Amino acid sequence: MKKSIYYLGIACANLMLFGSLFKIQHWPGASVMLVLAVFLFCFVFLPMALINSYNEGGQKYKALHAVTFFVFFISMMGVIFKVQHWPGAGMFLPFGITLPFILFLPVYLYQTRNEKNKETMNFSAIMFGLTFLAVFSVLLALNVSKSIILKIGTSLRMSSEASAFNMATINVTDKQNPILEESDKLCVYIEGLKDHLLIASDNTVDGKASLDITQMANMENSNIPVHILLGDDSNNKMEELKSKINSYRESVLASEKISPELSELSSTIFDVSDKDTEDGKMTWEQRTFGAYQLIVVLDALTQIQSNVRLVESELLAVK
Amino acid sequence: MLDTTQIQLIESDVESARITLYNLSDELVDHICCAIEDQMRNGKSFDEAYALLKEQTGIKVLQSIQENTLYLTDKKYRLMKTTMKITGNVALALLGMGTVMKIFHWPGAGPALVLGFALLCLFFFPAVVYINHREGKSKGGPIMNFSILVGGVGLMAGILFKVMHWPGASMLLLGGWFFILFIFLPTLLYAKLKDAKSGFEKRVYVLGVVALIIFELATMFKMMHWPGAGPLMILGSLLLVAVFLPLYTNMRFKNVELKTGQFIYLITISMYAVVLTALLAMNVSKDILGCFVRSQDNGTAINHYFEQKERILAASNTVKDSVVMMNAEKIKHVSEETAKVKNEIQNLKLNLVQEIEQVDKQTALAAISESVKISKKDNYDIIDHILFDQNGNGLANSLKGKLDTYRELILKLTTSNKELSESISRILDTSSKKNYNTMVSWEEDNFKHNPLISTLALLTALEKNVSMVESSTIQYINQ
Amino acid sequence: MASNDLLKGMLKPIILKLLFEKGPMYGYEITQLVKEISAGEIELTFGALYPILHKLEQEGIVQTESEVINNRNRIYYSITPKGNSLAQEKIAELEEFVKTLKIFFKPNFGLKFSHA
Repeated sequence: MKKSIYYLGIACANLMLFGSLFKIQHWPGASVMLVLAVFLFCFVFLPMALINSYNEGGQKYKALHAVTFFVFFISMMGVIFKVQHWPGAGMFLPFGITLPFILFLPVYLYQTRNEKNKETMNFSAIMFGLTFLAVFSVLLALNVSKSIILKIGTSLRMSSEASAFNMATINVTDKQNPILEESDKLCVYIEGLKDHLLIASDNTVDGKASLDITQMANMENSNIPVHILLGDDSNNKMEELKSKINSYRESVLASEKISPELSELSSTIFDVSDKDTEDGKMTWEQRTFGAYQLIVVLDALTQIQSNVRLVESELLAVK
Repeated sequence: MLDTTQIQLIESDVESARITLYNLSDELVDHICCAIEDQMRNGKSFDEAYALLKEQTGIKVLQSIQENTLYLTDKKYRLMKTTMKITGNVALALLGMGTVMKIFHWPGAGPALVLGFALLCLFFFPAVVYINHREGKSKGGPIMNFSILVGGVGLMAGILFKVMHWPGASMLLLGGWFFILFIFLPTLLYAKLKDAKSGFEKRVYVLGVVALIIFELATMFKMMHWPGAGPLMILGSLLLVAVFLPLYTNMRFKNVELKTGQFIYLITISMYAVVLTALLAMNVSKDILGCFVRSQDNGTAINHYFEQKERILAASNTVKDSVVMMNAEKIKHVSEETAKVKNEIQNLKLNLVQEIEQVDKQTALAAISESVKISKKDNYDIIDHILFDQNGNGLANSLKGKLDTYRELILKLTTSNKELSESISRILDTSSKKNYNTMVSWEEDNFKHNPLISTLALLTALEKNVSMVESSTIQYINQ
Repeated sequence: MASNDLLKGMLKPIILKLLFEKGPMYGYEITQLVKEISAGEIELTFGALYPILHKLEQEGIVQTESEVINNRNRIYYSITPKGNSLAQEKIAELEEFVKTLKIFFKPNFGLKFSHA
């Protein structure tokens, strides 16, 4: 009986481990292992081990055994719902993380309050276990799923598509308009920055920069963008970019045929000044590039290009 | 009468219970010897008598005698023990509350966490180390006690600073890790090795400590965003769970020291460690959501521009002229259809924000135009629920239908300009896509498991695209 | 056998009384003597004994003396001159208490009248 409990427990922990590893590596079979691990734990290991512990001299702690089962059953179920994105994960996990604190801990303390022997070690073990759980849960709460990066990719793609649309449909009546050249200059400059970033981050095909979201490497890297845009040998690229956007905005606003609405829009979307926010003063680059992850920087740069193309197209459409 | 070797055996056993109190170890040895001598006078052999006695009074009982003695005679010990119990409970209650509040986005999470961690660092942890020291349980002596105290407090404070975004978190974390990795764990290993009874046991302990070091290093690399965290984490957790855990259980199982309760604890804590580490590894910092705030606000500004432009266009369309009249009909039709689609998108955004944030219409509108104000930016399960129903239809699907109809209408009006119509069909494309070798529909690709803030940004970008299409179409008609 | 709950608080005076009358004794000796006198009714485990002895020593009521016997150290406890009076006091206190306690177990609490 006891031996099989040991085997089961170790099997559960290992299934969980390999399931997680497979999941992180996107190898097939991860879900099966994770689901199996949790179901084995919840429906076989936990009841068996608790019954064994109860018969082993735990009769005094009836409530503790019941509560342990309930709490860790819910908790582990919450985990599997969350990992598998099953409906109800949002409900399950908060309860799974809070129950050990609001139910298990009080019952444990209450039931063992008169237990003088060997209490220190067990008490500290439980304390550290739960502290660990709290710390990791909080860290987890500060995080979002990595799949969000793909959504930034979507946003980037839509910006490029919008640029392409505006360039294709632009109706040039006034070929002499200086905005045409200005827009091209700014967009080409930004394109150069993007290529620089992509090459530095190993995103190349046949030696040329390639922006393919599905194949992208180093998406979360922030060292490369910081080095290129802000580093000592970056020749002040960020300031250069800002001054280019600034002068572009000035020439758009100085344009003769600009409507008041368009001038309002241009001053908003090409505003590179510092701003006061709830978190204190924030510079344009802080607002725009955040923590400088590669994908975020590329998205922001593409968005500027798209904005330029939009304003250009709107400006030239005015008869 | 016991001979010297027998007494030595008993002495070493008492020593392994780490009885350090003055006179107490001598007394216990003498007591055990006397009891055995009594049994032997009744005709039992030494081995029999000692085995019987051990069954009744194991190491744990000897330790509890020392604990009770300390508790009765040492005021400081008594004080520390009370401190440990009270602060431990209060700190944990606070931490638990803080975690709950943080997860549910309730106010007050910060103070609860800060207070909980402060209690833990300043009172609970030192008290536990002191008690362990007095009970003689930590065998590494002062170095081990000191390193675990400094390292542990440094780590906990570091995590707190990190969570609260206070400066200096990295320094604290690095300092804490330094003490734990390079001083505490080696001394622990040294003490365990001195203790080990067999070569097998030694190897298990070495393995366990090495695995722990690798695992801790991996956590450190991960938090400091240094490269190489992934492989280290995999190696560390493999060693810990797949190799050390079975060996350790086997070892303890043979010695019949392991209670089922302790084993349950061991397995549960390993499961949590694995799953939480994995979840963390799959995640990125929430700061990244700021990217969508920017996109959303940019898109909103542009859409605002298009709205105003339209209003002016509608006002100026009162001029009548025979050619213009005919075109005006077409333009009116386009404008109306565009307005319908844009309305649909705007309502969807409003609906999502209202449902998820549980606010009234006015607040929701304000939140959409200034998206920093949205608190549940990362919620995605309610969105999934709203946008997809069980049959795979739902609002996402109906939005796709609307876009399809709109695109067909516009394409009919612009057939004579090939370039324009091609551009329009590209930008309003809603066809299924190949994603990692499986066909994924447009709505699933774009909206499934998509957090609130990026869904909003996406819808705003869609709205912008529709406006751009309208603008180009009207321009084309007017030519 | 007397239960632990009843014994609590009695052990200290019992140990003192033994030391008072018998002179210096060591731990095992005390447990055996208690067992013998009470005919097995009271079992003084060493888990309960030693914390009390150490507490008494700390309070200065008893003192220890170490002696090597049969190749091992044996710690003898004896009452200090200072603890003498205190020990007597404790013992008297217990005696008084037992007397009072006995009243409770007389029929009718030892009173001469009966219920009306």
